[in-house]
Amino acid sequence: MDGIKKKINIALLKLSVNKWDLLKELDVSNIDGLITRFGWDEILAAMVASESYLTAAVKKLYTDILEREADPDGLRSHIYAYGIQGWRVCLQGLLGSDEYRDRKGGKDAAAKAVLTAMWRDLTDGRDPPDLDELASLPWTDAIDALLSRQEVAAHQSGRLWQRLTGNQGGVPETVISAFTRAGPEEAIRAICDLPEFEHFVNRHRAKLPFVVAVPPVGEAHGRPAVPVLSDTLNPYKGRPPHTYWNSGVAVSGAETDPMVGAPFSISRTDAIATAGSCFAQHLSKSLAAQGHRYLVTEQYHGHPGVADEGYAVYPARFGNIYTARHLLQLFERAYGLRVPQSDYWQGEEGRFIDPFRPRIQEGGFPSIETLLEDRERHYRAVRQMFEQCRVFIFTLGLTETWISPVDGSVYPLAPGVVASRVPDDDPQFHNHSVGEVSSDLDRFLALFFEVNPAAQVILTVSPVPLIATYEDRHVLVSTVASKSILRAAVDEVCRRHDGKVTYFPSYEIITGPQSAAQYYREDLREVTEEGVAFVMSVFGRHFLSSGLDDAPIAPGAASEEPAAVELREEDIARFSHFVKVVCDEEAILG
Amino acid sequence: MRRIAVVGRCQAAGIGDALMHMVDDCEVHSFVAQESYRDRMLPHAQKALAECDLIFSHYLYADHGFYSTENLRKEFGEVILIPPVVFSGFQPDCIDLIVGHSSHPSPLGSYHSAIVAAAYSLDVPSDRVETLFNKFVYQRLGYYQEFAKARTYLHSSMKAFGIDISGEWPDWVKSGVFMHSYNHPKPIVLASLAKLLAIKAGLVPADTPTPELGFDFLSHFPIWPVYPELAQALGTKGSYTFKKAGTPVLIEGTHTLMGLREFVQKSYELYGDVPQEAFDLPVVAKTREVLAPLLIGS
Repeated sequence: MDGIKKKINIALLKLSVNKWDLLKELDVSNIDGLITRFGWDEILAAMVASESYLTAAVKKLYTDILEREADPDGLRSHIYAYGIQGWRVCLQGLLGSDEYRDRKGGKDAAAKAVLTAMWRDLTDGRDPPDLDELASLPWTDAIDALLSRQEVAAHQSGRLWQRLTGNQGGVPETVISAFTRAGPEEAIRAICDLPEFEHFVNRHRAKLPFVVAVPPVGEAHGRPAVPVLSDTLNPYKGRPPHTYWNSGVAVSGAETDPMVGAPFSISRTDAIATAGSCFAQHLSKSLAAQGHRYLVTEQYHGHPGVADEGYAVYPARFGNIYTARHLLQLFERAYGLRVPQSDYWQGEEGRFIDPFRPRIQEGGFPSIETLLEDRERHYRAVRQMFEQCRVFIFTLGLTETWISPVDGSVYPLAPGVVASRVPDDDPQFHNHSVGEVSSDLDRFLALFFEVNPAAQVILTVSPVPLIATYEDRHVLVSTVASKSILRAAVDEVCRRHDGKVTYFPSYEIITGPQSAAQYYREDLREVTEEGVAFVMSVFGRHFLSSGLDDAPIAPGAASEEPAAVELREEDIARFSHFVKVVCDEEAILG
Repeated sequence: MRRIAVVGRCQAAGIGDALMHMVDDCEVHSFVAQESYRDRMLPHAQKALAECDLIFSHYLYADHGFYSTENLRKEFGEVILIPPVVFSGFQPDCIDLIVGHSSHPSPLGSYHSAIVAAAYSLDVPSDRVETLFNKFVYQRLGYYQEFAKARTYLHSSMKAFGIDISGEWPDWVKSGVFMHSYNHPKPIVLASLAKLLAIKAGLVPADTPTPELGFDFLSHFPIWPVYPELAQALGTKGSYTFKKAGTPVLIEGTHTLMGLREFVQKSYELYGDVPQEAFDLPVVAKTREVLAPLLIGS
């Protein structure tokens, strides 16, 4: 009997061997989370690695079986049994105890309960047959007899067959008889001799470590070691802790760091630029405060009519950029690709407002000329920002926006919020879809990388809810819809630009259930300083390095000459033409 | 005393200056054979060339009359050819609008901006054109590849004349922007070239250093700026300040410089008289093809 039990334990250990190292590294205090994650079999098999595991598990068995806390002596002896002889011995000890028997109403009833539990355990919960006869036998004989039952052998053989060949059902008789005759190890050997196993291994060879080498148990019999497949059918098994809710979130709660690695790091000399919704302001302030090189390309210049407001909030004085379309159009306008028809809005007292950054200057500009001149300087600064940054961080905030039906210009605010007159193009409300947002981001990124191919982009979604919605629905519904659209679009874009565009999960940090809204102020909208600090600590952990980088910051700055190129016919024709050109000095000498 | 004559295009004067610096006990006469004053300088040229020991010349076609290379060979014997220096790596936007034999004028003599010409032919308002002078547009127009292309062409065109500039090139690059425009080199280039020609002609030893010229004849002519966005990629500084031909008239307080906005406006004013064929030239058409799909709105 002991031999068979030991074999079962060994087989289970083998099957969980690729979890072994992982389990040893885990936080053992969260036994419930681990049970959910790995299942009882593997947990029990792996528990011998840790006394704290054993202690916690025995305590749980006490609670489950005897429905009380473990007394010190019982705990110690069962931990010992568990560690040395395996979990089934421990289980048997508790199930066969007087206490349990008394609670169940006599020895036979207790034995029957034990055998029933074992039957269910070995057949994945099937109802047991009549076990009265076995219950009357001595413990060891009863368990031996139970394990040699055809149903148990067939079911256990089926599990091994499935794991080792990927096949459901159709277990060869030779495998079942090997199991009946000598237990799981022999059944494994029988399967390994069959072509189905070889086929399966070949099919999954590229996905190693599905195939796990195991201690050479078989060598004791002069036979080669048996390769054992581990959980090939469950792709989630063996995944890193952060991929499981329990170990990834439940354990760490509000302190959860959902960022998994960063494809690059930012040194103190790397120029960082940010843009986006108001949450992006937190990023810019924090990065500057930490001594990183926060890029500012537009500074107050003292020109008449221009107020010293809104500078250095972002690299250039563009104010909040809530939508991907707005960012795209900012690029297009700054590079002369887009010229909006509506140059200005009129505010109070005849002053003029820049519709694309309506709140950068309280009350607007005193004249159209001042506005346009300031905008020209502004666009120059925007170009410098795009071209000089090493890292560009954009925080998407909204999908709801206002669009000119005339030329498609998007405005960050409805005109009526700041203007005293409806503009000629009478902007209309529009709520962007996932497709529109991802398409706008794609288009922006394509343009941006043309002027700054060496830059890295980090996308985030603002956790700040909508202050108001123009849709005819509840603001909460609009908020969730808007953020979901942004989040989905960003996910699509990051997949398409893998390696150049990275998502930073500030949204998840603040809004996830693990934080239980603790990072929101009383209005449940503004993010607290603690929330920002925690977001930035995660950002810093993954992206910021304290080192200095001597490499040129400006991506285009080249100290070396461009590489050699081959000339095309059209180039040669062009240069040959230049040779023939007679220059124009007669204009002054003639 | 050795008597040397240099005949050719605008670059000839700098070559002559450099030869004066290098060759001991010599007299150098330089003749820039431009159409408008060819006749006036003819008596001087005939006399000087008849008395000289050695003639250097750009290859000039028969339409240059007396100054044509074939005529000089016929009348005076050996003529050492000077390879013309053409390098558009710093100023890829600088073009000419020559249709047939007509060179249409610009605010900068005969130099035009491909971007301005293309924008004009696309009916882009003049006040919008300035915004097209940026890195993104240059990238799309292939301006960042121009330096490497022009370098390849320059080296190979010099080799065709038996001149190897590979030893000179590092000094040119180190000096910064070594061209005033695509066909007007700065003194260091002309001095280098003159040195190589003088070595080839046996006038000076092979280890002769490149002379430093104190006078830059071609600086009197238009100077096309290296646009800052391109300059950055070339490791230098640039500007959008265009220099017209001539020198400032101090008494009047005038100057010879103009900014991009003025250059665009004046180009547009002149383009009203330029025939359509000029805007159909390949370099303008290609620029137009690139710009047209990029422009949104009026």
